[in-house]
Amino acid sequence: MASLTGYSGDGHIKLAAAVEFMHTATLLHDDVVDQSDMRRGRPAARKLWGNEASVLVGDFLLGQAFR
Amino acid sequence: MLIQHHVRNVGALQQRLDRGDQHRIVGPDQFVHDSDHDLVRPSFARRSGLRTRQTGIDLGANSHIYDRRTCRFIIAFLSSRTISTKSGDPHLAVVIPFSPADATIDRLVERVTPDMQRVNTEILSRTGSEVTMIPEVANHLISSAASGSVRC
Repeated sequence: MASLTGYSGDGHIKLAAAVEFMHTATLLHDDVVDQSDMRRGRPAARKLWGNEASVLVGDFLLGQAFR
Repeated sequence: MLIQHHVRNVGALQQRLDRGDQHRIVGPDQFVHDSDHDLVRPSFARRSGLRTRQTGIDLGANSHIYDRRTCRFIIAFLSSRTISTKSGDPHLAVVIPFSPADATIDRLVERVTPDMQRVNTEILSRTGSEVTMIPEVANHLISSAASGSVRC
């Protein structure tokens, strides 16, 4: 899609990945805050690994997004 | 689909009979538009004796009258109808089939697939960590999205 605007670099790939990282991180944190049991039709990460791991992995993904 | 102040118009009855067709949208480019270059100032109107194009009403000395017109771009398959308002100015509404029978996003998918694969590769390469739980948890959620589950 970026090529439709004349762009030819790799920045849009990294940008898309960053957005996905941020989105995933917010979902991990959100499930902890909401105490959700399911996410995307599967058990929420916090149910499998606990709240602490979910928060820390969410933080890790946020860090990756801004790398 | 009716537009706000049109709901009390005859179109409302038509919509009810049509069971409120949810598969139609009104194209914004088909409404009557006001544009700066079409503005007719009262002073100029008085001097020139202008009348509005569509209503024929004299331009008042203290009112700003706009030359109203619709966009010229009209697709042949569109159907349209005109709804009159109290002021007499016609408001054109056009209904557009939301999902034509031959509509497909295959070409769009084909175009973005290579880039989406590169994005997935980028994501997987950056979720690596010496802490084994990190890629495990991250991939759990990311793979849920990739499997076609509802993304939210």
